[in-house]
Amino acid sequence: MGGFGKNELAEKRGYTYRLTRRQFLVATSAAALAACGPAAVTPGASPSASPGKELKLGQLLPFTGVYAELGNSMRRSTELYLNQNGRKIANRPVNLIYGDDANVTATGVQVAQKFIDQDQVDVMMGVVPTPLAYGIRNAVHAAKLIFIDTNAGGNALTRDTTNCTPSCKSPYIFRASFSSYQISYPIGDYLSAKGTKDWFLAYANYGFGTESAADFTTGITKNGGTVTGKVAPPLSNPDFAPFVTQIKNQPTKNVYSFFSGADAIGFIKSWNSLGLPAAGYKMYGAGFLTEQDVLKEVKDLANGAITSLFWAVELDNAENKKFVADFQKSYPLLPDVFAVQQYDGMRALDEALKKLGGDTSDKDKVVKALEDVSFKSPRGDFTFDKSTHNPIQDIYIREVKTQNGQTVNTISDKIAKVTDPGK
Amino acid sequence: MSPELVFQQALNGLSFGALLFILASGLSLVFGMMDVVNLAHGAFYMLGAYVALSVVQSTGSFWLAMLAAPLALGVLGFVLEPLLLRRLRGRHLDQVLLTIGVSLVIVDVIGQVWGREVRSLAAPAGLDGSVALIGGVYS
Repeated sequence: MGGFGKNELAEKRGYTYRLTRRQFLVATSAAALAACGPAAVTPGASPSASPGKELKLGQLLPFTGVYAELGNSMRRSTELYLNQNGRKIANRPVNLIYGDDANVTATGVQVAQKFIDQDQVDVMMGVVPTPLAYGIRNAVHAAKLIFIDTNAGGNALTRDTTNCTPSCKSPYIFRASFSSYQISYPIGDYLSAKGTKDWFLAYANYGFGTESAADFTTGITKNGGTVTGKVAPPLSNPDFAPFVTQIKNQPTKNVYSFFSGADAIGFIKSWNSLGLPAAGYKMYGAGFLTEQDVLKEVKDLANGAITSLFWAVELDNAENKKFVADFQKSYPLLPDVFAVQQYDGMRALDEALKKLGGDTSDKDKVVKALEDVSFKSPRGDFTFDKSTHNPIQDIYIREVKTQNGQTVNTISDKIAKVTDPGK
Repeated sequence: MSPELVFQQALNGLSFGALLFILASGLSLVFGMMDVVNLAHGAFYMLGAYVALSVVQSTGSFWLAMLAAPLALGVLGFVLEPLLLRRLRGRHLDQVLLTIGVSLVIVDVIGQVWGREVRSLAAPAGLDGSVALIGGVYS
């Protein structure tokens, strides 16, 4: 490639990169104005709302980037919930404002700031990646903005931590999804209590993966289990053969894994093509390993895998059957766990605001009302833990089976009322 | 680390390297023969994979997809070259800018048409097995 000298290029095109004085003044004063913007608005001073007034609901979700499908799924269940309830929450017409974080923390922080300062939303929901949830925690807390986290599962968001590092709980933050503890600790405890003591770990090497592996390890060591080794491919790893080869070259047959989406598909495919089932290896994992997006691609290759999650599309209760049927009436696909989390977040907000007659002006009253929310969700009984604002929920042990040509997660057991320890 | 593991990992590295080599040789070939810096090369490659996916889904034949995908991408190349790239002959930096733009368009069109979730193709009969080599199974 020639001609990369920038001055040379600029001269060839007949302009230079110098700013005129006027451009300089316009640019700097615009920047100064933008910097003053947030300070000009008093945090939490959204005009007091009386029932019947429009409810501004900010949804911070990824619609581009690797988690775009999660964002789309959560948008679908948001729309489903509103359509089922006349586009109203607690008799207030809902003004939905979607913001795209593109799975970039800095972008998401800006959108959250825009929700607070410019849109002055009454409630914010969403947030898929944990680093973004941690990144906006302080701004949300300072603005006393009611924020219902409908995915990000990092433990610290609903816990007391030293110096609030990397994050900590806030009275204004609720979580309608899960903490990584709830996904990984109970299954570790359960399996080791049943006598499976030796474990090999395979997990995506990023915050949530390492946190889940640590929680699983705590669960098994409680009952005298041990971890004999581990392999941690990077997130969005293109080729799993080298890592699965390492698993096959060690003697521990029980493998607990934490992968989701594309990584889970790659892992399960390599697992089979390298012949691990025939060699006696057994796959265990956090539920995301075998959710619909993965099973759709790997089908019966995942058979026999045992995972834990707080929901499954096959879960046998009236609310879930209705939810799955309604979802399929609106969209030509099955709901996934992300849709459930968002749906429950909407429901929790609706239930809480109904008790207040839709009034969101007193933030502390809204917090109190949310703490008292209790309803039957597609996942079972749903309540928030009053001290952490993380949900108290049943965790299901599921096994992948192919029945009548469909590969599904069958429920084999239930661990009732799992509460995050909050420390 | 056992010698078997080293050997298997060397094979893994070799096969992944071979895949990258095929991809990179295309980029280098276009630059060498046509004097075009095509930063949309990866997007073309991806589009080819999606065309193959659609062909397999509608006809069930992997081998037909092997034929159809390069043909479809060839046609696209024949259209894009006179339409866009011919105007920028020899201007490498401008080609970079243009082809990055083309790649952005292709990626978003794929997102609209095929969706953004992960898709995969099963290997065809005959290539879907694994081979036993010196103390290990290799796929």
